[in-house]
Amino acid sequence: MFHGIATLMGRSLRLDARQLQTHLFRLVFVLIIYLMMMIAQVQAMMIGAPGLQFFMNMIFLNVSFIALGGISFFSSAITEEKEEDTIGLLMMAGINPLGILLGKSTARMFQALLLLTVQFPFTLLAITLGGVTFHQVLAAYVALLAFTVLMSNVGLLCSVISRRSGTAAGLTTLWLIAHSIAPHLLQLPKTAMLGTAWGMSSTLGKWTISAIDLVIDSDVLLRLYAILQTGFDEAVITKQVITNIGGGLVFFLLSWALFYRFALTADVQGISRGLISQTTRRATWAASGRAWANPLVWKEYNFLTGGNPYLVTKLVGFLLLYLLLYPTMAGIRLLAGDPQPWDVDREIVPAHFTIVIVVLVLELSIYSSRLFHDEIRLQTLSSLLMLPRSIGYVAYSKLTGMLLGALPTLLFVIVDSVLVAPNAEEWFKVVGHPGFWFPVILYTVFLHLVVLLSLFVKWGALPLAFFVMLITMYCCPIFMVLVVISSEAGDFAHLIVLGIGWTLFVVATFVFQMMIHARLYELGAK
Amino acid sequence: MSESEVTPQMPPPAPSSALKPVIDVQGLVQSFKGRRALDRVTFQVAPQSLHGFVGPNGAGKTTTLRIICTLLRPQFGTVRVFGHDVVFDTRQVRRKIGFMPDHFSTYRQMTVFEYLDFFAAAYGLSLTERTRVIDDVLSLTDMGGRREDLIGGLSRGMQQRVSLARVLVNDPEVLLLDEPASGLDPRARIELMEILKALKAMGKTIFISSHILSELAELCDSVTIIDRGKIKYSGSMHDLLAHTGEHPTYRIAFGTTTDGLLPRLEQLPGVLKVEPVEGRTEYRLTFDDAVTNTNALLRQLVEWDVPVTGFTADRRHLNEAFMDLTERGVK
Repeated sequence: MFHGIATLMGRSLRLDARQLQTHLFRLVFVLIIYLMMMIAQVQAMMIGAPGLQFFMNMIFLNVSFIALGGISFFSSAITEEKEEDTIGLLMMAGINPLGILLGKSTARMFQALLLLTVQFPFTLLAITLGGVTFHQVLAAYVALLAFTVLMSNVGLLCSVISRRSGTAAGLTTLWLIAHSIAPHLLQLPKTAMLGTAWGMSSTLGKWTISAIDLVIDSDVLLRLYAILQTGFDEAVITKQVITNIGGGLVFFLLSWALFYRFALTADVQGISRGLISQTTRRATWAASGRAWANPLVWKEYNFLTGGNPYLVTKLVGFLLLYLLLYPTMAGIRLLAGDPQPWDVDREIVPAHFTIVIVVLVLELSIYSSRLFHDEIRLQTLSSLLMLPRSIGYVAYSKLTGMLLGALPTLLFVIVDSVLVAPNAEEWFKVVGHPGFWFPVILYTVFLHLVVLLSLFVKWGALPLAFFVMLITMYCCPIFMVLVVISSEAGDFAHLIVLGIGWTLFVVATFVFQMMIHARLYELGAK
Repeated sequence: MSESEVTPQMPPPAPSSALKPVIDVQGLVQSFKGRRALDRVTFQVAPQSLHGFVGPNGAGKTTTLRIICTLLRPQFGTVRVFGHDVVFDTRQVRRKIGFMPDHFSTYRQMTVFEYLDFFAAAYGLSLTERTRVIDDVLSLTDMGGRREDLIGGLSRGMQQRVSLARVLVNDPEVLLLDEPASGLDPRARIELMEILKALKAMGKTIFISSHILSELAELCDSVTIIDRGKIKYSGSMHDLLAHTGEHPTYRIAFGTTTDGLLPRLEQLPGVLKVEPVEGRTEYRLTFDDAVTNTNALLRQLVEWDVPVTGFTADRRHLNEAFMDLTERGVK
């Protein structure tokens, strides 16, 4: 078994060493650290002890990269073998599931840990800059190491149970979101339970509170915030470290237990039509029907966004959400000890508005990441580009189909925005302001980046684009500062700054479109 | 001055298909990362012919095909399809060709009908035309009973038929097929070849890249052999397979092994060389046609009372010609 593990790990490390993108990734990482040091240097001229700020930036950069690694790097450990159809071959070579799991995931975990370790000496510079103690640095890196172990094994489990890397990346993202939100959401019931006799005295109540505490304590962000406080003197090994490493072990054991169930019987070529009916002889509302005059719009509407069944489901779902929000909001008020829990009429529409905006953002992001990626995966891009149509026509038709599927969500965003506004005049004032469209166009740039990256990477274009945008925004804070300052300086200055921003984003969008066009042509010719 | 005085009287144009090649490749050069994939590739494909395109792996077949079907721009040289340049008249070329790549390029989540309907609509066919055309292509490919099936659930052979049906929905005049029979079982392969014969009979020009030489030899009228980016042969299949020696060579087959026949054949007047064909009761016999002829040879064999079961002019097999023309080793 050990021979097999060593072979797999050796192969994995060799492949990693040979790939240009791995070294580019590390170079980018180092460049960002260098940039942070430069910013710290500038800050040192203005404020005293900039070490804490530098250290804080470094730590949250690491958290972002570990999360990104979990979504893309770790979650593809087993699915890439499934996609290459090599799991059976590895088993035939005498490597058992435990060997495959260790050989595939451990090498990746080591690479991530290596990236953390090599930056440790640079981080010590924060102590020289002032504001941070060695104890804080050590505690933060131990917390990050534990989080890496957890993320790598969550990614591994998702990789074992998923058929494709994309699905595994999606599952890991969902877990990450849940893991980040849960500690904050659980604070409310915990507070409510602590105020009752049941929560304070009964065994079940105590157990429940302990379980909630465990979830809250496992959160790496809360732990890092605590570490970064001035005067931190807690132990290095805490509940967060133990629960993260323990959780990692549990996820690894689960991956091992489920390996035979999922990894060996996975159908990589699996096909799914969602709720679209298969018959084309009878015209039913759930069927895709005959292709439209622009068949590309028809295809994306039906087979990317789910067609009529999903359209109706979303419409009904968003309507029901108004009804569901009423008892939910009242419940939250009740837990918070509000004497009038049912007086929530004014809170429902804003809550609904927030939810539909989040859904719209997620929906469009996911559709964008699949818009061309599915064509690459199914090897159909060359057939599409062979049509007597331009690449632009094909791309914009697909985009139209995608937007058509997102219409219900868009409709509710508009309806909610009208309901939230105190009057029509106020609504037009907000919508007509250039600042309102600033995040919209920023999001458009993001969607372009998602589409572009999906043409280059096999999986994880969406999280990668998110982190690229995050890092870009971090590296270009001057513009954001200008937007804020100019808003206080007066309308004219604000408009000029926004105008520059608009121009920059429009240029970026245009450049991305040109790059997408060139890349599509290149992929079609391959 | 009137126009008739300056315009010379031209003869009525001959049917273009009778004269002009359907595909005209001239001096094609293509390099990838400093490696020359195609080196002054020149060949032509006649109308309504079945043209084979043969070469070892990495010879430049797929690159040539991708240029012809407008997916890749040539770096040097020109490619014309029905006189339309693939770079400048891309849309006209695309309307006239149907390309089937060497992999299954299908939407597995669609039914056979949805898939064909999608492509037919993409070519601008009306609803009525689409219904008729889909029925026709499904009938031709014998997939009529599978129109409601999901493509992902079909066998490899059936998926290949769906791919072929897709290529046919816009009624292209030229079909470009890249390794259409790869991975198919013998029955599916034979059935595919029958469909190709039927398409040729319908007047389509078929340009087929394949490794299965025996089938190409049987099907194709003409062939182009490419090796390491260079054209080694381009012309009729008959000329390629005909024995190109100075003296005629015939193949004589016998029903049973006949002892002492070889020296007797060698001593016949005019016979220059007799070679036994390995593993068969056959001989390859070369003679001087100034001294003897086939009638005299046959007469002698009858006199000897040996059981002759075959007497045919010796033709090389395509794989022999292929091996002669291409170089050993992998590029």
